[in-house]
Amino acid sequence: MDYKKHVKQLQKGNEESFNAIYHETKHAVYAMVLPILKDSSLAEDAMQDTYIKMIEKIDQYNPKYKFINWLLTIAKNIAIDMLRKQKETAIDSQENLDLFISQESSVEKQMITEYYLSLLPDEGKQIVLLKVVGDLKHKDIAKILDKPIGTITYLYQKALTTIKDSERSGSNEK
Amino acid sequence: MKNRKQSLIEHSIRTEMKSSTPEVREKIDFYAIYQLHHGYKKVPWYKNFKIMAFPSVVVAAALIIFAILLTPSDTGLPLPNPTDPQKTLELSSKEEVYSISAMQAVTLLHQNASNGGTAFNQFTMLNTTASASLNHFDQMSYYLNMLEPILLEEEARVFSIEESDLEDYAYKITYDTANHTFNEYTLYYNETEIDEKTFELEGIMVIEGVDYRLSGRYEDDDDTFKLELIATHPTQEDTYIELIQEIKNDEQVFEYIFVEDDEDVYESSLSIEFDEDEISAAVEFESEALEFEFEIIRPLTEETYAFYIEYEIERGDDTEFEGVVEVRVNRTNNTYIFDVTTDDDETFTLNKPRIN
Repeated sequence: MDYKKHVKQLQKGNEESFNAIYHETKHAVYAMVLPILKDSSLAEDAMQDTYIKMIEKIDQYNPKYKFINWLLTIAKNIAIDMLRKQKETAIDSQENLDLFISQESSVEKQMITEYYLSLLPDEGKQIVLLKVVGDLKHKDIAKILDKPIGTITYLYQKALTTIKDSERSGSNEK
Repeated sequence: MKNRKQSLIEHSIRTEMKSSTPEVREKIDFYAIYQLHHGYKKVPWYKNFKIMAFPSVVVAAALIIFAILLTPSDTGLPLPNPTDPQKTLELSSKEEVYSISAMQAVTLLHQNASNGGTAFNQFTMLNTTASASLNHFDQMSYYLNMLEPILLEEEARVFSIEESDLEDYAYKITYDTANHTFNEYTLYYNETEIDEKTFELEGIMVIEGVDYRLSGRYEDDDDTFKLELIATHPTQEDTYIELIQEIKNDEQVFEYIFVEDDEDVYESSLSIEFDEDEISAAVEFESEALEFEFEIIRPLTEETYAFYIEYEIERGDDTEFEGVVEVRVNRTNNTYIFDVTTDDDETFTLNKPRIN
């Protein structure tokens, strides 16, 4: 996607460009906020707030940086802020992932994916989601999560190995 | 190769998560939010850092220039500060813009003229045929060797403005580059003022006793320098470089057309960015036989220096390669150690020669 073109248009108030950016980035934004909030309903609110903030702050976007990184940093900060408020109001955070609200996928598939992700620590989960769902490169994930690229590569491989090992041991048990 | 199990896991996560992503678009009243925060004001044009170059050898020349620009100097040129993300390369005077652009263009022509000569041997690898036949890790190693002085900010250079010793030209600028290609460039030129902000320039640049003709036009409009320059090969009239360079406060645009025997050849680009915590150099190349994109990153946060390379390569036969390389430097035998993770999650280690 040509973000530069759409961002320029968005800065001028073009709704079509907003729609284009939204549809291009929504999965990545969701993949960013969900592992932080661990609740699909809260994640949906965070998504909405992210795009509202994007419109508000679009003039402040510095084109020297990748647009998707800028947007996902907004999403991350909103999710963290939301989580903080959530804790302040003493609402228990869920230990189990409430990931799915889809009407389209089968319960079985949802459970498998939920199981995969439940094997991973929060950090690994986020990296896997940003890479696989958000289609981000290790380099961009490193920038957004403020970690060295080598660490991201390592954690991603480790996460997938954890899932594969779990699958293998599950098969052996059978 | 990526095993089937892993592909299935990734596919499963991707499919499920994407189908689970909620739709919030309808909940966002775009115009209401936009007008509340921006009214109807016209947003100023935003600047983008971009360097376009033709052909691949231009990358090499641009790298030389960047290497020169990025080094400590006694000339008072402002230098980029890696700790300040807003700061990019800046040139402080029209003389500097003119001479540096001239050097870029002439370097290419000279390389063309002395193809195979010892002075430019390392850059001959950049021609398309050689690049296409090289193993892509050798290409990466080659670029890393070229870019390492920039990424480590180790380059040394001498720049001096002197009295002209040629009758035909009023100005003389000499560069002595310590670690690249030719030892010395000498630029002679005259300047004609068209109006307060516009100058026409003509001159020669001398490298290893060869004179290259230069002509150009220079505009200095408030905070913007713009130079259009043509450098012509001394014996081949149909071979020349057309260069347009524009420099603003936080933006630089370089556009090149390399014409050989009246034909444009190849495209490539280079961009170097300074961030708070890293310096990165991206090289792109495109021809019929090969497309590649490398981004070499040097994190500034690590105590011992290391590099990370992300690469995407597509060859003319539709084979594609993509992955990440973590590079360590072995100073004992002066090699790079490449720890490679391909996009198929294949991992292996390679040793590559280091010339710096």
